[in-house]
Amino acid sequence: MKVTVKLFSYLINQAGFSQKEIELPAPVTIQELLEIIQIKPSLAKIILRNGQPARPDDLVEDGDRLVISPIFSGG
Amino acid sequence: MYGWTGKILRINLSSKTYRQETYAEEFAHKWVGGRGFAVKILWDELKPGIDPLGPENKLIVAVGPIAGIPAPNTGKTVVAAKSPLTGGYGDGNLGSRVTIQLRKAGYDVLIIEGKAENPTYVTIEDDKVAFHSAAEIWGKGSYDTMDWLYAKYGRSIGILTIGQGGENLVRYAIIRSMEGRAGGRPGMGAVMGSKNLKAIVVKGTKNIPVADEEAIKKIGTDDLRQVGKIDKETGWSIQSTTGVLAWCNEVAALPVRNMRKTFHPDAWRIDGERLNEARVATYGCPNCTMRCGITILDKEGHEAEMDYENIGMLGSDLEIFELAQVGSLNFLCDDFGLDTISAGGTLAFYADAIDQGAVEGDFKFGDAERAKELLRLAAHREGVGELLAEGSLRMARRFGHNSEDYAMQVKGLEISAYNCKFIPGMALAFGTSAIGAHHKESWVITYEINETPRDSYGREKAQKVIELQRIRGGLFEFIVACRFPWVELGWDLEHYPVYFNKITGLDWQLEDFWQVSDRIYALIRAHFVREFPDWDRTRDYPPRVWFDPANADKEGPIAGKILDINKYDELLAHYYDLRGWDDRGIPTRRTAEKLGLSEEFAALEKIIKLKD
Repeated sequence: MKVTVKLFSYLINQAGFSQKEIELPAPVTIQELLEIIQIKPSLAKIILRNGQPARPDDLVEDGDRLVISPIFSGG
Repeated sequence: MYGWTGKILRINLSSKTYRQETYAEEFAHKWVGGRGFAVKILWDELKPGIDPLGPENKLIVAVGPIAGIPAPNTGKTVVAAKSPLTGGYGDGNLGSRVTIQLRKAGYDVLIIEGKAENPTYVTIEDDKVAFHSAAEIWGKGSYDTMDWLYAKYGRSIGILTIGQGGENLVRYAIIRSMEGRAGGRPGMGAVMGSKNLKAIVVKGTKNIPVADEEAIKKIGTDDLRQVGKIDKETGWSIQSTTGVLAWCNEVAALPVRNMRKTFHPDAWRIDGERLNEARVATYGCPNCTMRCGITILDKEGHEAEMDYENIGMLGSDLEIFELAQVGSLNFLCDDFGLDTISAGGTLAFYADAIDQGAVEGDFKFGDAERAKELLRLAAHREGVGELLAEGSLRMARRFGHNSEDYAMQVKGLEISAYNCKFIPGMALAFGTSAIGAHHKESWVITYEINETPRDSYGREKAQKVIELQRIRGGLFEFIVACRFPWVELGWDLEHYPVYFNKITGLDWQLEDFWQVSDRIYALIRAHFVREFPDWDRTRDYPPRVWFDPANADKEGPIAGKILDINKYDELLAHYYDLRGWDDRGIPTRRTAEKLGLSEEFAALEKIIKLKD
């Protein structure tokens, strides 16, 4: 299965990409996905799955678009 | 009394006199500092109905007990006055060496009164105040002015200054400090200009009175180091505040084309990644280890200091997607001393009004060169600049043709760079922001998008707006410190009572701070009501275009969606109820009493009937 991950702010530097299509051998939770892309779960504060709020223990599905951000305030 | 110097310096520019005054411990405990001191002093000393650009207005410069102490991000100063943009209480908060120098000179507050006969700047050195001719710097931009003052007095001095925008009474002129720092969105720079006051220079040599000096020195410096360490570990300052731009574009919250649109395919060209690639230097405020000021070279080769709000309002909202050009607009605003948010919002409104046929003109979205010229005209009030200097609400009232519907402001202050046409809680945050639409009071958008259904208008959103107002518009504005360690890096709020207690010798908990926050919000609201006795809840509404189905996005994640005015009104009712304000948005008699404001509200009762 394939999912698209879009990262923001310093998560880009941690993972080494800002947007990527990721091939997964089996269904995983968002928490497990974070480990795969080497993002510290404690820093992934704002997670949207297909535009809707998501939780770390939610399972990702084929074709999902995950938007993952740290906390920020915009100045 | 520890933590506070207990002294106010009152300077009268008309008579070229000054005097030191003392204030009681009770005043310090009730209002704490910064915004708290400013709102109470202006309430007591300004007569309702005065011209904000007349000599009767007073400019307040106020720090708090934590300001200038070596603890995380304590280099901030509050500037306040009756606002020439909103007509109510106005203030702003900026990083400045003035914070430390004023405390070392022995003061917590400056009150600037009257009007100098000729352009003047004032120097404060401990107990001595001198009035100098500003003939050589009047008419200069803020960068040249600061260089001139540095050359004369050395680089360690604290400076507050204005550019041509403040001199020419642009209603959204700000006060500038330390090259890239600016504050006082609702026209505090114009108030300085109206007093013929080009700059305030402060230098002090005294010790700041602290209850437990050894403890605060250790805790404060350790924590400063720790905040810097977290910043480095996470990499927050790689993009600083601009990391949010790409996210706003993703979730359809970016201001584009006078907030007609919520995202744009070219937004990546001006986002935080591109900014970091173009970075030439990084700047920060005093006592800061997470420096957020990223500079780039603008189109003309100037070093321009950028942040998200500037890029959102001078870039995407004007449909200008060339970073160097956005840098040029940013540089010009800084040099002229114009608020970047209101300047961007005003130009975007002007382009939109031309598009809609409300006015004739030659400015189009995307035209960076013309935008630069318009900023110059606004700062000097030349030609069409006379109109642009008034801000979007006054322009709309002049244009007619229902253009007020899409003047993107609340209470006259332009909305910061979050397009809330379908984000109810953040729209409420702008609607109820104490001084007009400002993101600094309650930035609820990430909570709302991450924790709640976007289209919900539940009581919990109003509760969250208030919770954040207490922290952001309250605590950090009266102690006075920068909110970034907490909001950007997750630095625990519980640190702040520790600093406060070590400095003052008191034993306060966070709960005690919230009471002060609520008191300040109630008195700021009372200021507005005193100025506008026909006050009603519609003054807490965002612009009508956010409720207009015809303005809904045609494509993207929120296609066809728009705020519902009846549900927004219900959300507002929750907000009033939770605050103990009546259905007009005025604190009730009982709330005023609970907050220790019976005297102030008894005076308000002479103007408007209060409810129980």
